[in-house]
Amino acid sequence: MTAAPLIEVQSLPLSRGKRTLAKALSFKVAGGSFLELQGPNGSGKTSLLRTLARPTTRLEPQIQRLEGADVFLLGQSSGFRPELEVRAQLALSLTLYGAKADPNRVQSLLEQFGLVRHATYRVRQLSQGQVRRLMLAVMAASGRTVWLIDEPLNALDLNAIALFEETLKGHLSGGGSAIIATHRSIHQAMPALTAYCAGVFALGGPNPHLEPLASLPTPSNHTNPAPARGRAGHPLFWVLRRERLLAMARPQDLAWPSVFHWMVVTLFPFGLGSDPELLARAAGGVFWISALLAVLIGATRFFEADFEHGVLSDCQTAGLSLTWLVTGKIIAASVFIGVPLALSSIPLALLFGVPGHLLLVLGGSLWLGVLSLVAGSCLFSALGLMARQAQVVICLLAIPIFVPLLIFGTAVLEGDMTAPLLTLISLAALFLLTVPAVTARVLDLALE
Amino acid sequence: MQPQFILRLSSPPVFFQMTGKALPWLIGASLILGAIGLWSALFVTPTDAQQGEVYRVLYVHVPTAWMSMLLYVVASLYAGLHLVFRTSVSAVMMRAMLPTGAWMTLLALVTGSLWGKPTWGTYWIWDARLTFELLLLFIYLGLIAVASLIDDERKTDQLLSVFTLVGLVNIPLIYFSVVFWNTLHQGASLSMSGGSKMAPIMKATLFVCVLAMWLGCAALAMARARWQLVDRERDSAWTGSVLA
Repeated sequence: MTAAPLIEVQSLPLSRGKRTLAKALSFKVAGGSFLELQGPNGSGKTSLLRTLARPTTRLEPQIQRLEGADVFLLGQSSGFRPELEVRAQLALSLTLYGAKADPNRVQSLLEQFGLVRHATYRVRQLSQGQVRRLMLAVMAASGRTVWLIDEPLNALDLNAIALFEETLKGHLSGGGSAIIATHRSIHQAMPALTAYCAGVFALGGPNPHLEPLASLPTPSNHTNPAPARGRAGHPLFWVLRRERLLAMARPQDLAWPSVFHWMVVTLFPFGLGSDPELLARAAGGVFWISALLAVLIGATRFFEADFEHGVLSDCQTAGLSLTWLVTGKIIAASVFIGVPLALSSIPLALLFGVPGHLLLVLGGSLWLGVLSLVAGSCLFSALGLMARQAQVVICLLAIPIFVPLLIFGTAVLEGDMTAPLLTLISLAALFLLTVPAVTARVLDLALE
Repeated sequence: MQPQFILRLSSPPVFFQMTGKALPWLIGASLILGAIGLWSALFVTPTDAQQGEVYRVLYVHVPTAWMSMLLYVVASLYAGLHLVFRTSVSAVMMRAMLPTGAWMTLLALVTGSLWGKPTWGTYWIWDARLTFELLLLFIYLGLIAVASLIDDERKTDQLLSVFTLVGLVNIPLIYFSVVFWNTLHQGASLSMSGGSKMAPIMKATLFVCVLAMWLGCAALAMARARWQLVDRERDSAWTGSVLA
């Protein structure tokens, strides 16, 4: 008997940008078997895998996934951040896919994939082959039913190739399936896998089609894949945990926005003169504009690293909503940038002659301000991912959004503070509630 | 109008054909009305009792300031349409509104400050309306920048729609905060009409000028949209016959 196909593609058109690569692709992959995608460079192998890896809600109607058949994409980018420790990164990646990540499990995976000596290294200290091994480890333990693998043998040594063969065989014999884009035929190079190969799909020709292997035995009685397990805890916690690890990996970076803020603020008396009355009156505006600049300078890099290392696309594949990712990043930035900046402003405000009873108000409103400023600029830094040459300019486009913040932020220090403070709070809430969804939409476009 | 007619308009060739027919009429009507309006503004309407001859700038200033905001609302409507229906006609119409809107904003600022010098004694004060108009210009320029930065047309259409709608939420926020700021700092609070009542002939002239500006902007935006549409549909069959 044949198992129901886990993934079925019916007349799927494939294009890259405006160029059509194929008009109608059709194939299906059943549990317990894998498909090889072959074709010359530029024939659309990677594009096809990425199309198949889209989250269910954004999947083309021509692609049918069996209920509960979730995917894993082992692509060209690792999905790892170079500054993280190998062990911590492995645990993070596993939890992203909803797999168990207790220390024993992580340790045994590191042993299995020959990385145990490097467990406390940073990811950037690994060689290319070791990074691929780490990716294999994540894939092996991800518990996903359909593995989409792009050039699995790249940068792997003989040991690692054997490891890959063994991992894939275990996956297939357990009822999982895989689609592998490769230049070197897997079923010929790895005799142990030949029995599982459903055929070769050749892309690039005028008529892309599936060539079944003659010797293919009908798959034996496969159990249908286990239903997808839910992620432990709310996705927001995963994002926050990851942001905390990233912040702790480079603690010195946390200080820079505040240092920058101090420096800009101390520049103003040189420009305005040292008249204490004038400085006290200008303090609100000076502190707010300086905080705005401090946030804007960092904002260009808000998503850049995660985008380049494939973390964003991994989140999409894993089914973690980008809206939560953005929300988490904003909250984390308000803690890691906002709190030091607000706290360091309080002694600085004394130098400007801000009256004592307003110091805490200034600090608090600046913290609210950083939260909203980060939210406002993250929308534009997502846009910047699509226009690299002008990333800095794009963040400047956010400035009109900041005008209301600046007005109410400085008004807090003048006269009755209740109304402006309440407005600031509601603006921060408005930003936090609306910006992540809009940003996620822009990120979706950047990831296409 | 039947809904079918509107749906048909979203097909690029139909849109191109219909606007091609409408455009000469729009341009003609706008030029004639503009000539009548200016003639009346310069020679027919009486001199203002308080402001003297200078008040005649308002016959240009008011329509441009009005259009600067209206065009943004129209652009947002097309942005919403584009996000829902993904038609390229709505995208090019949205894109065509932006430069026209930016020009109108700039004109409103320039005529406003030309009027302000003799009336208020200064080209610029940080008045709520002036400041708001300046920020509106920044928003327009930002959106125009977004339109030109990214190569992929389809992505740009969607991004522009998203950001235009973000601006639509943002503009009232900016407006009210600027008004709040203005009252907080007790800036100059002069009113445009200067308290003088408008004679009926002044109202009529202003109305004609506004109408001429309306039609002129519609014609400009339409012409620009047609251009963009042909440019982006270069490869489809219908443009071949149009360009030939």
